[in-house]
Amino acid sequence: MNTDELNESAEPAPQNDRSSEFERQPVPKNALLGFKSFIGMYAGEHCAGTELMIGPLFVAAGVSAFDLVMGLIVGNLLAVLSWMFLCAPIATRTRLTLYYQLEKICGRNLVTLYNLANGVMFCFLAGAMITVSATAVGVWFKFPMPELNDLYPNSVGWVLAVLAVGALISIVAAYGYQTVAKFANIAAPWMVLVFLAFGFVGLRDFINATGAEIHSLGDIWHLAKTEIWKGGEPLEGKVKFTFWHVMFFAWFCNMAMHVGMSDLSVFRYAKKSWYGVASATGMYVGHFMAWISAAILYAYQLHQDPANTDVLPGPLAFRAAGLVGLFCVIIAGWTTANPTIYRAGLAFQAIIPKTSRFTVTLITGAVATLAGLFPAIAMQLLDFVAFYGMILMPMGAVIFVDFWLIKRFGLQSSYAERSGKLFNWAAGLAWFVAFGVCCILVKFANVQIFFVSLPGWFVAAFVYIIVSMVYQKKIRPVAPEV
Amino acid sequence: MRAIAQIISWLSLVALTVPSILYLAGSMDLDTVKRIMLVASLVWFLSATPWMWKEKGAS
Repeated sequence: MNTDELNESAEPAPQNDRSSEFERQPVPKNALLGFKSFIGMYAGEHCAGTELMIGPLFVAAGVSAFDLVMGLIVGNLLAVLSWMFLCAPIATRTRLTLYYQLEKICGRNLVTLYNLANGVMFCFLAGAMITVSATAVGVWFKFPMPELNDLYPNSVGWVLAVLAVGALISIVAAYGYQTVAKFANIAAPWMVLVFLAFGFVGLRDFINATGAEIHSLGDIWHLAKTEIWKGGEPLEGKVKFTFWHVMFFAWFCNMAMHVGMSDLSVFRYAKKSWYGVASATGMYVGHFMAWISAAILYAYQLHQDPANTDVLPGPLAFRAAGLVGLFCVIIAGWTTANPTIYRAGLAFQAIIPKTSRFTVTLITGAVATLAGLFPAIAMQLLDFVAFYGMILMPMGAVIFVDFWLIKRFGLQSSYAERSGKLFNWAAGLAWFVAFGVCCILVKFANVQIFFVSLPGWFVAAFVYIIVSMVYQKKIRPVAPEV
Repeated sequence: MRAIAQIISWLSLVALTVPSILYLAGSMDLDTVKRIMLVASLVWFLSATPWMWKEKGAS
């Protein structure tokens, strides 16, 4: 999962924040950034608190070692390629924010609707991050914490912990977004290495517990296959994960960012479109190493006590690395919830521009905190993340078609801007129909949510072209292209 | 001063990682690993903050 400060989908942004620059104009040459900037950014941002949930949830889903490792290698590669060949080429040609690009295509009112959807999803995501941080508080205060299939808060202590963590994060986000963003940069390399240490410690614990003899990488792989990720039936209430589940999840967990084009706002600063390859650092550090490390810790917990199925990052990290583990959980949740709450606030503020950012961020943080009280989101994080991508993905298809294909059909790109329309129904219907088709596939065709976004993208692209053919003719003779 | 702070902070990251590798190799006990990691973490945040705070990057 990621949250990045450049990745604004709404306006306006704070003073002195790079994202506040060039909101309605292409990024000029002198503001472009080198490859190194993107490497650091992606490596840090995809090593978030939620990685400590996702790795264990793979184990809970009964994944085997081969399916996990190969699924992550292939899925993350597809994610990197999506950034490289879908998102970055458009970003480096237009050099516009996602928001402005969408406004030109969709019109102001449809973008407002998009912002609302985006903001709500950010709130729930931030809620999951608050949940993760609160599990670290539970290690200190020893109150009952949620179990794997819990939907509701299960103790007063849990409620108080989430309220305290959520309030702190929200107030800090409202007052000092920039400060936390800077702190997040400092914490990023430290967090990555703590995650790595989790993996080493967990692996040794497995070696000790099983008495395995390790003389080669082959021995480690044998241990992984027979003890850590044994495959078999998932835990109660979880869907069985195969190679395909892992691959599609790894590919689409950041779907809103690459296929959904949210990272146009990031790569508009890139000198070359191949800088999209920098996302590999995030994928193979955060979504490979960190997930595997967290999965090892949870698998060890199950190995020690098969009845203890709780996915609680706080206790998992504390067992492996003591206080450093706890700090890592808190900081990872905090530093990623901070920009998420902030960005949700921006999205809402774009809808009600007269409200102050401070107030909006506080209210957004309160909503995220309420969401964080319910462990259902964090415990069902795999499904939630897939749903998040599914909702925002169609707009990526619209942007892709509008940029590369629509003129080949004799139609106009950036139609809302050219026609002055506030709501481009071609884009709107593409979004709604694609979302509807995905929901129908999940609900009535028993296709799991991890797989529907791929066909959904093509539905959105197809609907956008077809409806544009009718819509653009019907509405107006469009202005000649400049 | 900045160069010294940078060297100390990078060394602290090495100190953060090496104990867990030694634990994996069976050469160090877990309590010692946790203690060294805690000290290395403190050193990292104290030494990296002054020079990283002013850095500008993509984020």
